[in-house]
Amino acid sequence: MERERWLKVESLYHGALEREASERPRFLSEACSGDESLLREVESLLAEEEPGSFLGKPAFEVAAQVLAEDQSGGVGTASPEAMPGRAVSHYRILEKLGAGGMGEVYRALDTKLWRDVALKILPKAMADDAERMARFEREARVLASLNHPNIAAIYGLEESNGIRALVMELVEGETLAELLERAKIEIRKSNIGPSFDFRIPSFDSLGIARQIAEALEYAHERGIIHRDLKPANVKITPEGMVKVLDFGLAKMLDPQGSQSAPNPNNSPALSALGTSAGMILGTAAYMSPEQAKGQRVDRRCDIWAFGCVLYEMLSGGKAFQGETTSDVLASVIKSEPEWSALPAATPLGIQRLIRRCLQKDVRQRLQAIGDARIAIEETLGGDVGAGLVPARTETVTGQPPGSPLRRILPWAAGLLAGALLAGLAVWKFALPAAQPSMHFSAVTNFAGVQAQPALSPDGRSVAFVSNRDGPYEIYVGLISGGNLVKLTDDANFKARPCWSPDGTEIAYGRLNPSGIWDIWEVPALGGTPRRLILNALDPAWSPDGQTLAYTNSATGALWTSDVSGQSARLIPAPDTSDERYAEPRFSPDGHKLAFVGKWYGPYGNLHVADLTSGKVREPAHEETLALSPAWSADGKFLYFASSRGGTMNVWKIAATGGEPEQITAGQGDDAQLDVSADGKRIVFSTFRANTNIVELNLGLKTGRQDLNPLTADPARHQLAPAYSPDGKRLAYFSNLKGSEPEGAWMSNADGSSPVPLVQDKRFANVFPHWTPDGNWLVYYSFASSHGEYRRISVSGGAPQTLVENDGPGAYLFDLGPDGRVIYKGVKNQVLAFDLQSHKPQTLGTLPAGEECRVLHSSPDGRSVAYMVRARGENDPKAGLWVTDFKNEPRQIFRGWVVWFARGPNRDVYLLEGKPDLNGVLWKVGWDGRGLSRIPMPVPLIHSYYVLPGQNDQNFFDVSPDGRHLAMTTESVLEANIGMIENVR
Amino acid sequence: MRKSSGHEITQLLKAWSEGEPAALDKLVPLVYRELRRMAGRYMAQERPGHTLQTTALVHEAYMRLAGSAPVSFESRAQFFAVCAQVMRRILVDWARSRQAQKRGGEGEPMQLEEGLVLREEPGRDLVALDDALKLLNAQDARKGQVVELRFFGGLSVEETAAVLKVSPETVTRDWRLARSWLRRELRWESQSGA
Repeated sequence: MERERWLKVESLYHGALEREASERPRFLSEACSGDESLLREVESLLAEEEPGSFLGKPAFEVAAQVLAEDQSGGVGTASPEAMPGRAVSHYRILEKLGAGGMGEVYRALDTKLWRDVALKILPKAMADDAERMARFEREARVLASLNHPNIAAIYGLEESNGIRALVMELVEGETLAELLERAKIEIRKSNIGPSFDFRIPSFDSLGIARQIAEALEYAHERGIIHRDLKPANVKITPEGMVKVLDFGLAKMLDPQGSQSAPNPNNSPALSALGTSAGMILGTAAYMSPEQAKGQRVDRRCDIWAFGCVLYEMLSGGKAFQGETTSDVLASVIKSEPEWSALPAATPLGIQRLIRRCLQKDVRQRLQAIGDARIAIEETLGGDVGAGLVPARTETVTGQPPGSPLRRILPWAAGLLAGALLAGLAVWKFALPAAQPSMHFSAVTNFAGVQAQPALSPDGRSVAFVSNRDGPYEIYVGLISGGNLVKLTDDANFKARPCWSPDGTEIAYGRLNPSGIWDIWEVPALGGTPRRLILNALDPAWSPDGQTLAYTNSATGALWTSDVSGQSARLIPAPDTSDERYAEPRFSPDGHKLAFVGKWYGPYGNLHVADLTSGKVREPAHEETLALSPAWSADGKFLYFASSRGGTMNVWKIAATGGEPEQITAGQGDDAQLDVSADGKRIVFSTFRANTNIVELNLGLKTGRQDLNPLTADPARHQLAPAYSPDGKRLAYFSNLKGSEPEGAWMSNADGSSPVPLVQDKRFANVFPHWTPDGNWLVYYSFASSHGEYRRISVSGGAPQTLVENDGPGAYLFDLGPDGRVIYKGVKNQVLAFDLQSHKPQTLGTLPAGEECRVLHSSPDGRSVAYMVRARGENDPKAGLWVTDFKNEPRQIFRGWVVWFARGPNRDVYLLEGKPDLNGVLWKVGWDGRGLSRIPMPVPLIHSYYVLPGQNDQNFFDVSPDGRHLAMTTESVLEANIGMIENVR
Repeated sequence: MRKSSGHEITQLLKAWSEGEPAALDKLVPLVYRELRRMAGRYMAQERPGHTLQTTALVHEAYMRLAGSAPVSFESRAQFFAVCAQVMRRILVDWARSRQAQKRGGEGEPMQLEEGLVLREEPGRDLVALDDALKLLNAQDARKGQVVELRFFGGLSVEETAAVLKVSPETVTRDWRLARSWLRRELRWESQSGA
């Protein structure tokens, strides 16, 4: 192309980009004035004007992998030796952990959650079999639902570059097989000579067996069979916690996927475990007779294997042995174990248990693994050894590290001492003075949301919030089951029920039409609700029933008062960066108040206020989210929910501070807990929700709800969409659920091709706004103490700091229409910061007490619209206001505004909140004229996860052509109530 | 050892900038070795997808290459420009050899990992990009250079502007048009080829 023409193309290309998308066709046709080929040339270039990620990253990033792999000369394919260093999806393979017929296992780094996981790379033959993979995927989903502290979790299935891998919890520690082997070696060594230096392995056979039984019991209750239980599949963590590995994998890896197989060589476990003779032998020894015969198997095959494992731990030898696989299988089918190999000191109950587990006839075998757990607990709980050992303080995790108490293998001790009598003594010593083990169960199991459980003072009933009939109401039911009683029936959203100490009343928060909360109470046996405290939520009763603690709905401050609202007292805020305080709980003696201080997003800290001295302390500083403190019965500990492990789980910490201890483990968000008065029982809700961006088609005339999802990554939260000036792209912020800080992302307007632009594992970067030229995103970064405004080019590069706040920052800001001015509201001040002159300016001051957290500048930049939240019921000031700071501010909408956005044609789009969480969309002119309702119901985010009271989460933006609205929504995947008994 | 190699590299760069094409052939293995070392570190430690870190690493590699010997170039920026060319050459040579392997019936299809380069067009590869870039160079040399510096060299808009002695705005505009142009070229190429 000749130079002159090319320059013309270039200038038209940029000229078109500077204009609104709708104006471009006219601009181009006028500028090309009939030169069709020129028009086509420019248009074809504009059609590619989607910078997105094309060439968005320097070649070095691609090159890095290539170059790094080239160390040994050639760039390999996916051969095992070449795996370390490679990436499978967002997992970076670090080292090989082991291999088997079911594929190699690697330690890998999850670069999103920043934790180590185990990756099982599936054999290629299997990964290439679509039908098998479909089945595998289905079953992986089922297995991923197993959530038990004694089961190594399956996180999911990943595919990338033709490699399929199962992502699993990485359990550190030795397998039971290794532990047993080591113990045997040490005993052999010890026989060489008495002076030989060796250490007795610390070991707790029955404790391990009990934890295995608990894992099996939990899985069997959910219809999942292990099918390949053996010492090599049991790991003991350094803390003494048992983790059963590879649950259900044998079936998943079975090529037929059938329940039965015609002959032993085709039995599922055998074929799954591949070709290594040792591997088959290792598996065959724990195989039930029905498995060995290739017959149909059920959970009783796990019970058999459990018996084999228990026998081996106690006797030191395998229950069934043989030189070859067929010898072993023959022994399984025909022979009896060497019963005399069990130490004579083995309690009768345990001997009986093993015999019942190893019955060859399935109908004569122990029928439920729960019975094995009970038998073990009875033995452990008996008086054997009582007084010889200190009482254990915990049961699930076994022996705490560093404890002087060592447990030893009874058979090892017997051999060492060479006398049965000595064996007996050691056996006694080995037994802990036990307490019943922790037990997990589900209290509710319904569709919809069941959340915020509160135990009655007698610990027998639970009150909770549920939307099982549509609206959110308060329900009460007995823990032991039976009918539920619905206590309220008014459709308003409710939160956090709490029992009065005498068990007669239940207090709770109720949302009112002004978008603020009141505390109500209702008789626990049913009756008429009455309003207790205005403008408050999160009630907590003091143990004497005289005082209530609660949060001020408007300010987020924490108060106490008597039940009629008199003698109100403010709890001093311990930290100015907190936005709200919530979830107060009185200590059992009533002298202390535990509560949560919450700042932006999923971050929050525990605090404990001494009500006498007024001092507030932090038991543990959380860089993550801590919620729901609940006191132990003796008032020394706090149970709380924390995301410090990645997902929300229940933890325990000394009220005076210390190292927290993890109580539950799993993928859901376990939060909102309550402890019974005797401290033995915890109820909690497991809440799994996803924050997504949806698109509403404003062009639809009907009232049809049409929420078209734009983001769909269930592993991530995605919030606060902003349309690019040309309407082709969206910016938003997102984080991986758990503790990853939010980062700014960009996608096409239909949600496709999402790319992270800013992702920093140290701090959050939120609320990206487009510059008018569409080349930059301006966002709020938590990089410094007061936060700063930064920008990043949409084509990549390094973030640049535009202005660092020297006072309180505001992440809810607006970028003026010229892209030069950042507007923010700090309390009642509207501030503007000119990015070119670097001049801060106070545009105006609103009447004292009014806040303008959410604001937008007008299209001409001369005025500002801001949202005022109600400070009391029917506050006439609540709504949307516009001011040019010369004349009196004008109210252009009155009521509860959840969020608003600038639309085209000098319109403002706003979402009005309703107490039943069905929002209403309105459009109104900047001058307050032309108010019209958009007939489209919008569900409000109820934020059970975030604290209630923060009802401005439905961030949305209107497309430049006014035809679409992209909005943040929340979908609840699961919310039910669980219970832990025998809490440690 | 490092000192002398740094010196050697400086000599080669100087020679090459003075119009001795053979110098580049000697430069490539030296730069390659250093890049490979950096890549190993990057793979071991850095999060993928972190542009900032990548750029910093590339710069570190460049600075190590220059060693302690005085760089006789006008500016650091010019030195980066040379390295960007070397990087391009390394990557494209690698890609071509892979493609040859593929034609020989061995190895994997020549595709880039997860489309990091051409995310929306995962089927395209570096060889096609290199070819298209040559066409762009012929059409508008400065835009070709912008792509080479930004994409292959990992330079920021500002650094690219410094190398080319134009304003950052010009680089941004060039970069934008160049990407549209290349994308279109690759699309056409993929539609007409195959």
